[in-house]
Amino acid sequence: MSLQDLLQGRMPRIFDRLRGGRDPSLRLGKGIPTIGVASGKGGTGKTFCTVNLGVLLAGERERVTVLDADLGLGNAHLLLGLRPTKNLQDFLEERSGLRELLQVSKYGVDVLPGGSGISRLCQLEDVEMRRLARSLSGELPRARTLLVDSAAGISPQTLKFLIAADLVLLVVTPEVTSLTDAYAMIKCLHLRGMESRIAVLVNRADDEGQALEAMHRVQEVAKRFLDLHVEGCGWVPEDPAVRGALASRIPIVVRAPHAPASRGLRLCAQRLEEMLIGLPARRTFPSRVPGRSASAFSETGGRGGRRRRTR
Amino acid sequence: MISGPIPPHPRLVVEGLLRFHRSRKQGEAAPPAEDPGLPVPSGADFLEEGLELFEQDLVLEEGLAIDFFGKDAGGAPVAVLASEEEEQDELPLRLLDLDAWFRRGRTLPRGLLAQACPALAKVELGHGLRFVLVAHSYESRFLERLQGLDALDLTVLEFGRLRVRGEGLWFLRALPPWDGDRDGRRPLPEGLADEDMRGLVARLMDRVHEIDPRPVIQGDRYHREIWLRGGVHFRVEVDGASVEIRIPEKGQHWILGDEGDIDRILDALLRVELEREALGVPSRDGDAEWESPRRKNGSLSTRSEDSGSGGTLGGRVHLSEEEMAAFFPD
Repeated sequence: MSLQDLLQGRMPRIFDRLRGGRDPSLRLGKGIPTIGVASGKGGTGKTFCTVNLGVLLAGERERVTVLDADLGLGNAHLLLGLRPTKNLQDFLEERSGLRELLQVSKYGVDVLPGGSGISRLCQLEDVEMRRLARSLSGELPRARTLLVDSAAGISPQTLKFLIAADLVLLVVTPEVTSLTDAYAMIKCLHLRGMESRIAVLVNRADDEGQALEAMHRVQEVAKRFLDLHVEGCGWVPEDPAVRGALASRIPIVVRAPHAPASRGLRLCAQRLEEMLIGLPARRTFPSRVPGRSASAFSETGGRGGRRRRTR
Repeated sequence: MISGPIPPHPRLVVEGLLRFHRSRKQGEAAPPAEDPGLPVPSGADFLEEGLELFEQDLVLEEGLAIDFFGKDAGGAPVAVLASEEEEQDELPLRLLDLDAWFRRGRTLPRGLLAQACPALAKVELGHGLRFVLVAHSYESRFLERLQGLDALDLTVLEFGRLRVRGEGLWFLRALPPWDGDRDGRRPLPEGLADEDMRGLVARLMDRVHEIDPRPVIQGDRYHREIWLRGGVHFRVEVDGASVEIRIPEKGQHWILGDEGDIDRILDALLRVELEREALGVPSRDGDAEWESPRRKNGSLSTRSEDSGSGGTLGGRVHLSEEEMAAFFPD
């Protein structure tokens, strides 16, 4: 079965789910895994993590596609140094097909730009969503993994995208407001009957102890009140090198591969790989993520270097 | 029987806050809260933007007194009435009496009033009297009675107290439906009277809702603080018939004049959002400490959330007090 066949078989079902939320009959068999990246509140570094994890997950021959679902304020292309001339608005207004929109980067990640600064795109009509879904199923080029960079917060549109994903990756920061918002997102997805796996990545942590504490807090509350298992995907330390990478528009894992944030991201990507293997749609292509079996919480070098396990 | 600490009378808290407010403005050390001898300072922005109080314990006639009297940003007379729960039975009658007194006062020669009471010369009596009620808590029965007094211009504030870094702080919140945000999406300050300008601000907010369908809106009669997507913050300030829009983070401001200004403001807001996202700036860092206790109190649902009631996607999800408390183990 060709990759295109896999895509054609899988994508319509993904986006059927976009239309109406949960539908158990649409659990996916074969195809490409879809990871919905979300955050309860804005400013957690969700797009930064999406792009860098995409670079790490991309294989030698297989590419990762980032669908910038932060429609209206999408900026994933900015972090890859891409300058799209078209965006989803062109697609929605039928001036362009999806394939023409696809921005190919030199880092193995392609971006479907969401359309920065176009406020109308923040509220896609259902009919537009359906058209997007249909076109994605037919026009998405070869991709190993689809990363959906969703908008911050819990809008109906964000929920639709997340419910359609195989795995929801919540990017949080250690602040309690970020954790409570992330939990609210989890609760919201849970109430919608979402059955996909949910994982948490702690970004901008001072050290491993702080990251673990934040993650355990979310996991414990989700277990206690929702009886829901939330997985840990790892943590990324606060790192001054990030600012330079953002300014240069080069993913930090490429620009500064030995920076603490890059090390953290590599371990997170590795953990993500392990989680993807468990998905029905997962195939086993080699990736750029070193095949170590270490825990995402054991080797990341935080700025402070303090490594303790609180629990 | 176990009982908690007894809070001071709201009148004393207002006095203390007024003194603190004044000393902070003047860069002085805060006077002790129990110091009774200080005069009422002019600024009372903590109660409402632009509110000025210039008289304390103003007795209009036998049995008819106002705890704090002043004027709002539009010049309308304002009576601030502080009460304990046990005093609230008689408060509706007092409100009606005061309102009637001011209605009668409008017909009197201004010079005569000023001679009788200099404080009244500083306000525009033609605007009608506004009431700001302050208390630690209200009985539900009292609030129901207040809702029946819909001819009065009321703002109902409730004190809360929280501890930040070990230090106790008072805060005030307006109770619905007097909080200027009855349906969570009420962006127009009530103090904006000019119809054309109201239309322009309404169109601006329609566009803003495209960025964030559920912005967080706070404010009072003459201003609104609006947060979009959990981070981007701007202010709508009313000054007479004109409206100023400010983005404090960028130091930008516009006097709203035409549709072109709306485009420029939207563009600036989107730019701020893009910048924050690109740099990974955490949202509302400075507010984290006060926002969370409000949520903990159960008074605020999480932003842009969804209902658990099924049906279409959209709505809100509420976290219970137990859920919120689980994030605050200490």
